[in-house]
Amino acid sequence: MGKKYPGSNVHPFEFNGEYFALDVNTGSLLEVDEPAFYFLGKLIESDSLSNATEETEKAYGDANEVRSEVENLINQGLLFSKPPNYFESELKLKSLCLNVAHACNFACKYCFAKQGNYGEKSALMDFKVAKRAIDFLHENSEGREHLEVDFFGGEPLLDFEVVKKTIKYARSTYPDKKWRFTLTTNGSLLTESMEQFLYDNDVSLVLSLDGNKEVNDKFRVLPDGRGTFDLILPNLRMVAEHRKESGGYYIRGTYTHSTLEISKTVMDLHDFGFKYISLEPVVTKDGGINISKEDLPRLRKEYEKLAKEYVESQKEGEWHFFHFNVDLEAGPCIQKRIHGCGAGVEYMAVAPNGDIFPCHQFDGIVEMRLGNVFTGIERKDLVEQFRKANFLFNKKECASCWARFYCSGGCLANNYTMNGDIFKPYETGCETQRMRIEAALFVQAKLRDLGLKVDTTTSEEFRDSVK
Amino acid sequence: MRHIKVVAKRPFWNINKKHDCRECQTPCKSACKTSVTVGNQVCEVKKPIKRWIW
Repeated sequence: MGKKYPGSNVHPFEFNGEYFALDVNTGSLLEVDEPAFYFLGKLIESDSLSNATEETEKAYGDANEVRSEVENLINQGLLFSKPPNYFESELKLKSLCLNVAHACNFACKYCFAKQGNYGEKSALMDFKVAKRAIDFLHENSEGREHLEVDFFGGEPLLDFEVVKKTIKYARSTYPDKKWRFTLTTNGSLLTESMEQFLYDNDVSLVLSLDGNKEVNDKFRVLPDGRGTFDLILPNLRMVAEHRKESGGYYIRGTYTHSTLEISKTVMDLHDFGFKYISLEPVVTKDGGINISKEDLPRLRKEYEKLAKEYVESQKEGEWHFFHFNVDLEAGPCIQKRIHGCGAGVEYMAVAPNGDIFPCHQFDGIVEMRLGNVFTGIERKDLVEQFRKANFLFNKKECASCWARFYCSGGCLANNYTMNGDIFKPYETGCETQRMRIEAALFVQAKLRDLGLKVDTTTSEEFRDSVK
Repeated sequence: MRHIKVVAKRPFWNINKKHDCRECQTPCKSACKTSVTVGNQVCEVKKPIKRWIW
């Protein structure tokens, strides 16, 4: 028989010297004092209210009041609540990553795309391939209102004419769909006229920058080894200025074992004038730069520092560090939360020659080739594997993880890179993920204390809108 | 209550439980295109009029 008070359903945690408990199945967040935190820990450990009371009494004196509050919250369904109803969704293609350039003018040392060409001969996507990819997406996405296309590389601005023609083709040929476009760029080739076209066509931009000059130039270099910071900063600032009111961009940095000072990095990026920032760990088998288990305590300190500084700086004006944007009012639906990114089913990547892969990170891996946009899907068996791997509860470790409804099962490409198995979670990545969710919950709790909720809609408004 | 303060009350219940339109943005877990967690995404139904993804 299962436990009555399992740790997979309530997660007590300490962050920045403060104590919290998350009710996993409802997303309820509680701020608790030290005796209550201790009580919950003992309750999960012993699975007995009497034992938890006894142990808490020994440590803190009278525990009856804590017990009564915990029991009250259990009765209200705010602690150890039942799992929500869910089912395995029917996943259907809705998003394509067009790797329009298997080529790059940078030679970033940690690049998973092997300096942009994915280990193959450099190539640009011809418009006929991009056009066929758009047709393929439309043909396989019946019933979907929104379709997404990401222009990726390598450096997609090396093939900007194809980017422009593809956007125009998609919108004019299939006006029945709502198209969303994203372009990920190192920014070095970005001109004002390109930005104007991208802005006018509602293309969201992901702009790569790792931090200040010293941090960025450690890994983001030109083929001759020179740093890229001075080359790109003016262009990225041009975008941030142009989109100051509208948003529609974010700075996306990568941190490594040797650039772990993320609190300073994020605040530096904010000081450069950027309002939308994300910073992600490198994932590679290269032990020299990969985040190791030994790095995690330091990383936690960095998150704690950053969380405090972020909350403080929100008083001066709203800006976004994406890890902290967790919606405590509603957020995505449960069905969304229990399915992964859709790689291999809802989301696929297309190489310049039209070959289809489960996502951009699998591009160039022969055994992961699903087919070609001209001939269709050849590996239905592989698509089926990805369909299964996208469902959270098909991964044993994920099914019982307290972070399951925020992470929704991790990155299948990272699982493959680090463990050779899309079903086997990459443990250091999981640890990092759990750490940042705790940080996000702390930040949201503190913002509420200050009356500074960022970007939410009240539940009443939301319920009215979902009819 | 003296020991426990409720910060957020059942946010998952504020979502239409049967909702499964899958019209929201595809999340990239390695954050090459979006920020990594699903939990920080917005519902398409919740924000129907939005020019930009972010």
